[in-house]
Amino acid sequence: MSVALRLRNISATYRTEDGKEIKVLENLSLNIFKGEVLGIVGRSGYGKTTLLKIVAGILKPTKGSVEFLNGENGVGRRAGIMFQSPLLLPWRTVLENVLLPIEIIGEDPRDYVDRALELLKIVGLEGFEDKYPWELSSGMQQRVALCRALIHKPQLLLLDEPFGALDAITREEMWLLLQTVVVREGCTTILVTHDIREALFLSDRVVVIGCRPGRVVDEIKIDIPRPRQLDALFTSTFNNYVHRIRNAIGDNLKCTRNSNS
Amino acid sequence: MYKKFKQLNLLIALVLIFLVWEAVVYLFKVPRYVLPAPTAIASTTLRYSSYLLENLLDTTVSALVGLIIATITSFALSIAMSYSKALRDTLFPLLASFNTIPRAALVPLLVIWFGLGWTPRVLTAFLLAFFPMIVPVLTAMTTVEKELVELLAAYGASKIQILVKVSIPKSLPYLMSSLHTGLTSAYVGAVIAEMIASDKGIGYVILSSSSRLDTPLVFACLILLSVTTLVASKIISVVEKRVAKWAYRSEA
Repeated sequence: MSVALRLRNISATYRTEDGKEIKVLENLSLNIFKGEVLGIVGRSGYGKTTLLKIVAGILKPTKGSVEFLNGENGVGRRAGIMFQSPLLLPWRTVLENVLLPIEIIGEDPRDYVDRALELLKIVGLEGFEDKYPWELSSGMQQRVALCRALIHKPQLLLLDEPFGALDAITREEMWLLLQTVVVREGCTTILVTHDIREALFLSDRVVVIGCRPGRVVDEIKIDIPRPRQLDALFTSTFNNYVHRIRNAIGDNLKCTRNSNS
Repeated sequence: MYKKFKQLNLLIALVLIFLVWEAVVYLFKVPRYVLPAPTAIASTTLRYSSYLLENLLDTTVSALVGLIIATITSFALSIAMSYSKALRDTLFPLLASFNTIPRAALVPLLVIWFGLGWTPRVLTAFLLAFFPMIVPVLTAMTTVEKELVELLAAYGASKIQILVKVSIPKSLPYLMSSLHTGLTSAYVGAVIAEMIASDKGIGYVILSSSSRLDTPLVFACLILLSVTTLVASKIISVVEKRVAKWAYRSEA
């Protein structure tokens, strides 16, 4: 597999309101392969989101570089992004929300209406294109956000706790949906989550970010054939993976001790 | 169904208030110049109707022109101040401190500068309406979620794009609702200016009739002002629900 994205010696510091600098990431290097789903798990506050924002170009690392390889020019170059909150604009219909990135990029939204409707159909929102966000449930809003992230055919999809605010059952259904969409679109995906099962179910490879300052402490290739069904969650293979990742994350006491030393 | 009931209740309450008022004036023989009976106010209103309407129109024009200028200025300045933080940090404290000056005290100054015509009345209406309007609009524009800004910035959005696609549409319902407060403030401003320095308008009529102890005429003016503001407020509500229907989703 060819490398799509190379992170080299990334360090990042976060400045708190009282001016203290906290090292969030230190010397993190990581290759992301073309077409893979990479899960990044770790505790809250250990730099997962920072890492994703660096890849998205929202934040600049204090040290290190992000190299896009085989990157095409044009629309596909901008990553598609989805956060925990759907961040839909309440004065726009579902369709207009999905088309927002196209307007920002400066293409003609009319050229993307068909694609938007197709994506909405795939996520089960056929016929909802003229509804307003407040008329939808939170799960449906998050599906709209997924369509918005994919509308411009990105080569890279960045997901930050995308289903964190949903109830457990809806979340599992969203996993199946995301799997379908990602397989169909074939885009390289980075999924940041603190839900170990979510990362395992969706990813080809899981990277565990350890104690602050964050760095890669374990990397696990997930050998569960696709398309994966929810039954896979109850196999011993799956549980062994969960166990290994949970151990890699470690316990909080050890983390605190390490970061203080 | 419930809405109809609510309106009916309101009507009954109003009728009751006027009945009690009328009875009190009649039973206790309250002098006309202290508290005129509703019927006395009504007959005065009818007798002076064309005179009152003419002056009400004067006041309304001053108030509405002032309100329109206040709307445009507060919207334009909000856009400018949400675009430039430096401008916001400089201009907003200045506006806020200007807001502490009692505007009524400025009217004599405005008369010295602009004479007795329309200008001081419109300006007073504007000065009273402006600040209560700019605060909510500016706040709406400057409180866009950080994550939404980051999301759009990741797609390469410029500051102007974020302004046009997010901040301005977000501020519209706030602008519309601030029109209600702006409207009452503008009327207050126009009436104050008329009372201090004018020979026209409802403010002038109130002042001159009260000096003649023509209390029914004063009451007629007050009731007319209140009815006019209410009607104007209703018109704004109708426009409001069209322009920013998404903000009233709970009522849909």
